[in-house]
This record gives sequence, C-alpha cells and structure tokens, in this order.
Amino acid sequence: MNPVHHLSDELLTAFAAGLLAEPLVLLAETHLALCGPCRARERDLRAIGGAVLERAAAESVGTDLRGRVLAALDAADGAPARPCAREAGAGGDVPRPLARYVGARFDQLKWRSRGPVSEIRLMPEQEGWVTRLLKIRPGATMPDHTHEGLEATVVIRGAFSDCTGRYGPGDVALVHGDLDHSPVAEEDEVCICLAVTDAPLRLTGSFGRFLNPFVRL
Amino acid sequence: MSADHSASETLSPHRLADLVERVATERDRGAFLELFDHYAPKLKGFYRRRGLGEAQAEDLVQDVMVSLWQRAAQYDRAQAGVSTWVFTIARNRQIDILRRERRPELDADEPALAPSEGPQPDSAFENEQSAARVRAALAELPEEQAELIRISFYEEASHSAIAERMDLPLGTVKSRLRLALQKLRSALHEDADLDG
Repeated sequence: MNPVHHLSDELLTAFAAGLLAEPLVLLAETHLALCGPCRARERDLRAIGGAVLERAAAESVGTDLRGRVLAALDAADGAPARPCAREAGAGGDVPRPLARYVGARFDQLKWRSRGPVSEIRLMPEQEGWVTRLLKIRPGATMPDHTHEGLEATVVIRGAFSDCTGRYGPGDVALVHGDLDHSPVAEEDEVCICLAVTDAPLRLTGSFGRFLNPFVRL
Repeated sequence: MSADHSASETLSPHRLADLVERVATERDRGAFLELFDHYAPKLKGFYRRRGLGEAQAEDLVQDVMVSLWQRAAQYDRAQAGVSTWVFTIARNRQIDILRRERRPELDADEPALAPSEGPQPDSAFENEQSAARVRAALAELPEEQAELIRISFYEEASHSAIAERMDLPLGTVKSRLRLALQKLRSALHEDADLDG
C-alpha cells in the first residue's frame, strides 16, 4: 500500500536538485524507498534538472582540463571502481537509505530507552539538526512538544496519529512552528519512525544550513 | 541574475545517447571528447551558479566526466535521457562530497534508474522525444517562471525565502512554480494526463 502523506513539491524538488541538508536527504530517501509514485515524481524532477543543465550558462573551462580528464581516464581504467552503496544494507528489513547509517536489521539496533519511547541519534555532527530514529511502544503517547522550527517525520513501521491525521508506513508528517501536538502510536504495533528537527537554530525561511558542502573543502 | 543561454551548439538527446553508447561499448575517446565538449562548460556553469569557485567547479567537472566514462555501461537509454543521467551524477557528486569518508558512495543510478511507478517512457525513442520536449518547454516558460525554476535547482532557498528576497507574496511564488512544474511535467509525458 502506498503512503498517503507525501513530500511536498518544495522538498522533493530541493532533494532532486541535491540542495537539502543531509538529515532531510535521509528523510526524503526513506520516503522514496517506500513510495513508488514519489520515485516517479522525483525522476521527472531530475529530468527537469537535466533540461536546466542543458540550458546552463556555459563557462569555458581551462585549457588544461581536457588533458587532465584524459589522464584521469587512464588512471580510472587501471583502478577498480569505487565501492558503491548497492550492497550496503541489503538483506535486512531496514530501508536501504537508513541502513547505511544504522545497519540492515531492526533487531540488531542499539536503542537508548527513554520510557515508552526509545531512540537512536543519527548524524550528531550535523549542527543545528536533531536526527533520531524513534521507537514508540504500542499505544504510547509522545510527550507534548512544540518546536520553533521544522519537524519532519517519516514512518517506517507501524503508525501514529496526531491532531493532523494518521501516519502509516512511508507517510511524511511535516510540522512547522509552534503546533502543539502529541502523536500516539497505534495499539497493535510498535511504531518506528525517523524524525528530523531543525530547531532551535533554524534560520527563518530557509531549509537550514544546506549544505554548501564546498564551503568546507 | 542573468538568464541562462542555450548553448550555441546543442546535441540532440538521440545523439547524446549514441555517444554514451559508443563510450560504453567501444571505449571510444572521440565520442567521450564530444561529450566533454558538450557538458564540461555547462557543468562548470552549473557548479559556478551553485556558488563554487573556479578551481572547485573544474575539479567537480572532472569528477563527473570521469564517472561518465566509468559508468557508461550502466547507462540505459530506455530508462532515462543522458541529460537526466548526467544531472544525477552531478547532483550525487555534491552529496557524496558531503558524506565523504563517512558513508558508502551513492550509486550514480540510484534511485535514478531504480524501477519507479507511474507514467514512464518505455523506449529509448520516447525518452529522447521526452527530453527534447522538456528542453523546449523550459525555453518557452515565461521569464518569471523560468527564473523560479532556476532558483529551485541552483539555490538553497525555501519558497518563503525566495518570496522574501524577490519581494513577492508567498502564494505568488508557489503558484508560479506550480504552473511551471505542471508545464514541464506535461512536456515530459506528452500524452499522460497529469492534471489534478
């Protein structure tokens, strides 16, 4: 069954363009792993990105670049291709994008228990973001919480409901600003979800510190 | 903010796919150099517009072109146009750099060429037609819509940040982008009904 709550055009376009911060990249990839129709939408957006590239204002490259690239081809032919993510995370029940971070099997994860809600913190190095895998006991309520910024959640297993609706596997819940909500896991199953918040350091009106990764090179 | 120029010499989607196939099957450096001459200046412009310096942009252009050489055999013209494929490699290189030394590299074709649902072209011919149509549709967008599409693909800016900067109501930004995306998607799937 396909998810009901999808990524907005805004987030999906930024993902397709490669312009999201890493925590939101993971959120988007996890949704895409569980949502066929959004994979098709994302592919269309990359085709549009391809057209944008074809029409990009060309800038002449240095005269030595051709030679450098040709020399690099020789080196590339002699070297094995870099390892790919294709195998990483295969053979388990964790969606592959997430498996790159936590391993492939849910039963081997090391949860830190906090009452009815256990968590695993991801990407602690991402300043200004809190990225967590959450496991909520059947029927348990998340403590009331509000946040200043964006909270984006994608359900991986089970389901929860809050004042904005019901969220099952693959569904994305986006909460902006100070909405006071308390998600409740459904009675019959543990709910596992990936939650990303960018408060309190969120810059108004931005996706946060995207990543200009190049600034750090 | 200057409008993009269409390149003076433009290769058709069909020609691009032929060249990639020759690289894949014959390791044809002449074909590769034709692709280099087509894409290197565009890629450099693309990365420069994303705020990179000269040297960084050229390093990435080199990375993308070498990936194209190495992965040409994985390219399937029945699955995607060359532009889509190269754009995806260019995008993934940015993400890889971010994750370098911490995560395995993303596949150039993942999720690019992963099976997807919904309307999709089922032949190389349809793909090439589709790529040509979306190029044309982008060229024909009213400038106010084209500019928003460029910002969406080049800049780290939410709709509200764009609205603020351009001194437009948020609703205007959203409706212009929705309209633009609708036109571009209809161009991709000429016969598919994507309304609603």
